[in-house]
Amino acid sequence: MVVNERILQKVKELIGDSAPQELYEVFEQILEQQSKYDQMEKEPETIKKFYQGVLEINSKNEKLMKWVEKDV
Amino acid sequence: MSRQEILRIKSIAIKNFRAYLGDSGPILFSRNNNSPVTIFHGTNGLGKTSLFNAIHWGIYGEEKKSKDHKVKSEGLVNSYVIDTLQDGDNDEMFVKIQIENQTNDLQYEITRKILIIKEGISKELVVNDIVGGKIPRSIVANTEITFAYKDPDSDDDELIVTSNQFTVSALLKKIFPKATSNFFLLDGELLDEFLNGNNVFVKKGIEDISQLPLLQNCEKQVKSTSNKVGASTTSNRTEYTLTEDKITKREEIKTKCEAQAPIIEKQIDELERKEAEGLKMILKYDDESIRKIQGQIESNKTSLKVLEENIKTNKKTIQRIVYDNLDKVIMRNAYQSAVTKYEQFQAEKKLPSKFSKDILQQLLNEHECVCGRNLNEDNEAVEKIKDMLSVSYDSTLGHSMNKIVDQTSDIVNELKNSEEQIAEIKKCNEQIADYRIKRQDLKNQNDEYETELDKVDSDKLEEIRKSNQDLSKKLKDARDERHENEGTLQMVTDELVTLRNKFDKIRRLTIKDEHAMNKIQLADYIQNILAKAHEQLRSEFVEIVKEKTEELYMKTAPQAHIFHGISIDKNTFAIEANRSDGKDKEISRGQAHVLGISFINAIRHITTKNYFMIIDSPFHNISQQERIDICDEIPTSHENTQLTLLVTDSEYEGDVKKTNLPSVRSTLKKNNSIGCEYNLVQKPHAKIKSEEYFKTNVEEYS
Repeated sequence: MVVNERILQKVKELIGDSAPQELYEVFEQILEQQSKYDQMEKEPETIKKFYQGVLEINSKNEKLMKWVEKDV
Repeated sequence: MSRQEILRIKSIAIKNFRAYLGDSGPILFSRNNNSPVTIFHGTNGLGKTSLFNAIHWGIYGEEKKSKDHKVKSEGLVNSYVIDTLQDGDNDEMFVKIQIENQTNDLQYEITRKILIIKEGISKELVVNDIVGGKIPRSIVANTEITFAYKDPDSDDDELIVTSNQFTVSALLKKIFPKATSNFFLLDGELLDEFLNGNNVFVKKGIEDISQLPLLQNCEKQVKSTSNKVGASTTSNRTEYTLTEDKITKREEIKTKCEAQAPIIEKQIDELERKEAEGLKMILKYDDESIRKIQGQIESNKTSLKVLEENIKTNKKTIQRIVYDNLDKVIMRNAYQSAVTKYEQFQAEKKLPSKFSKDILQQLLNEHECVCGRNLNEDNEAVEKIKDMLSVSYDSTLGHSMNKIVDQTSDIVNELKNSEEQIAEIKKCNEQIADYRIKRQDLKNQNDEYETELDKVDSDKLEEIRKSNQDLSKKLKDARDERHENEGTLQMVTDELVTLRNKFDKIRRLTIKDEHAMNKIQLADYIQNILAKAHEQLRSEFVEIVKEKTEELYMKTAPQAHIFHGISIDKNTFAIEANRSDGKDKEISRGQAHVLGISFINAIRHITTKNYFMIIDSPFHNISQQERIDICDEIPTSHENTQLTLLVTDSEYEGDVKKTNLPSVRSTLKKNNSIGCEYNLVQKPHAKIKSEEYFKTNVEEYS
């Protein structure tokens, strides 16, 4: 499914241009998968696992976490 | 907006839907970006609205708008089919719509059917909910729906078909949320509904269509996942879970209160407005006001009487003065004539030895009464004059004109005084004229008062009073509800602050696992960004819609020069055209119509889905010039929008001679906007409408 381009642009703007590309991709993934779930193309269990996976994997990404810590 | 999904109708097939008898076969719609317009035109009653409703029914299982269908069954299935169905026979009505999602290379095919079967011969008409009208009891109707789609991830060209009603409904709900129907299936006669902001579908539709809820849904999921991480890694799980539950419950209450607040506020506004209207009416026509009007009428009547008296008095005064002076005036004139004659005779040395009575009488006859009356009409005056005449005659008999002078000099002196009396007459006449004007004014005023009193219907007044009492009670209840809601909201907000602090503390102090802490930190960060994005985008979207609506409206609205812009309510999305003279509420139906079209068009700039746009009666209530402006602007105002217009022949061809302007058709042709053009005609062999059956045939132009 397609995510409103304006939403993606806004997210990019909010995380900042110098943020790691991986961080932007996290948001892109989340929005796309949630959109599919909202369109009933994903099962509830699948979406739960997806979010768990997002946090699980990306929280181990030091570059990304450094940025998050700095930004927080 | 390069990633906008473009949804277009490929074709529609209709069988036995209202006026459409038999299978129409696929009617193709324009999918050409350069000529995006599909036109259906025909005279009134030939099925434009039926076609519009067929598409709406196909997608939503119900018609968008109902008109007075005068056919016998008044239901969805063509009445000829219903009436001619034989015992044991069956038939069907269906609407098949093929839609393409060009961006994702998706194909959808929706087929909604009503199957009818006749079991018996009963002709008794009964209401049938499926058919949506009365049909013979012997006919059984059933619905059927299928949804077919092509899987974009599959190489197989075959469509995947599902006919489970619930699955199909859920799928259609996702692709065409009901709230968004306002933005692609438009009834031109109802376009002004976007102005009042009362339509909850408008607000929900804009939010859905712009995907704003997606941000909130992501935020919720991240939060829920993060909380679970906390729950599984904390050393104080019970406390953690309990606090989290409490927060969830408070948040639910808070959301409910927040959602309730504008509803209550709107309800209060509405009740206050109604109450104020009622009060205004009551105040205008309450007992005191009526007594006041009646008192005014009586007072005016008294004044009228005084005026009548004044007029009479003045008339009498004039009369008195006239009669008092009549003889003197006549005498003076007679005297002056005599003197003139005397001087004339003297100059000619023909001075007669005496004036004959005849000469004097002749002199007298040369004059009429000063007031214009013939002396013969006024015996008293004539008698007086005759007396004076005798005196004059006697004097002349005395051969002495001097005597005339002596006799009349007193009268002349008196006449000098009468100049003043003439002035008085003049003054009286002026007063009479003035009194007459005043009298007329008072009469007019009283007529107005009487009319106003006639308007007052005491029963209605009583009704308004009662209604206002009810309104006051409701208003009190609503205000109490608001008070309670505000109290609850404040309470849960305060509680939430405390609970969240507590929750954070538990998290920080009890979660020992560093990895878990990282996950929570990342989740917090994501939530924060999503919340900010939602807040900022909402404001930005409102601004975009405002700007784009304004752009088109100022180009195409009737008398656009009287407006200086558009405003949009950030909460309700209600739009308003702002007049330069500040009278924003004064907007004609034509202007409201164009504002609705401009608004719908603007919404497409913030959406993820660029739906096809079908407008029934797009030129309702607007002039030929505005029709042309719309035809010039709309087809090109938003890239890739498939536009279908259902228009009457008169709107389409226009009265070129009368207006001296090009027709809608020639304008669209000139702009090369028309991709497909159909004429709705009555099939020659079909029975005419007055005999209850008729058939619409869709003829495509070659």
